[in-house]
Amino acid sequence: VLSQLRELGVESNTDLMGELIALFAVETPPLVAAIRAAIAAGDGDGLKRAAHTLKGTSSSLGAHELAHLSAELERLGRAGHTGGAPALLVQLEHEYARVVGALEVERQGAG
Amino acid sequence: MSILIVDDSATQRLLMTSLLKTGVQIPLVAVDAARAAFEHLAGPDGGAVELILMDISMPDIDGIAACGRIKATPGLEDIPILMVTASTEADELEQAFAAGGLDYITKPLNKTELLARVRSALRLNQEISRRKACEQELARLRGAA
Repeated sequence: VLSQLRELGVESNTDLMGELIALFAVETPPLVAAIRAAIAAGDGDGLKRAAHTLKGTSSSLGAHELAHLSAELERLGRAGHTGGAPALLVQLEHEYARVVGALEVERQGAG
Repeated sequence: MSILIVDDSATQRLLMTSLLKTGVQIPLVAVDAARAAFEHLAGPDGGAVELILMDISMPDIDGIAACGRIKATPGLEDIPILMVTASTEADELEQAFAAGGLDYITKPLNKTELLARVRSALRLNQEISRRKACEQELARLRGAA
């Protein structure tokens, strides 16, 4: 999950890596909740915005599959087609849980 | 002088400031919204900002609108603005350039690309400042003659 950060020279077991993981844990749950709410409300703009931000944050850490699923949801939101989004949301929530788990393992390793 | 980073994501702000610190010796100021950027730029000498890194997708006022507003503000119009985006949508990039963006950087960030574009923009800004100073001096000499 953290390959992108390592490519940028952010090493494991550093304060910076710990801070980035902590920020991810704070910033992303509201984004996933906003994606869920936007799909339920058929709000294409809201879906586009929240999915776009989650895409940027997850890709920066190297969570490529999460970024890819976010990009797909962003595309649906941009087109105003939230109908196909629930199936993607299931995949995204599954992948999100996997990423959070991997980051937690990394954080505990750093601690 | 300083570089102003505008991004609503704390993760992105931390990552960007950390990467920039490895390659440029200039103070960094990071804010979380366009409004905070306007407030900073309203300070003495435009907040002493030499370069702005502006996220495009932000709630409230997005980066493209913020860029347009800064470019329309007397005294701030020459500050180069690098747009930062997780999108490569042609329409969005076109709007960013139309609003006065000098260039763009894509997320996920690439350290080499980020530092190269920032150094290039800083050099350009220094050249513009030098040219303006020369023009002012020339105008002064002509006035005195």
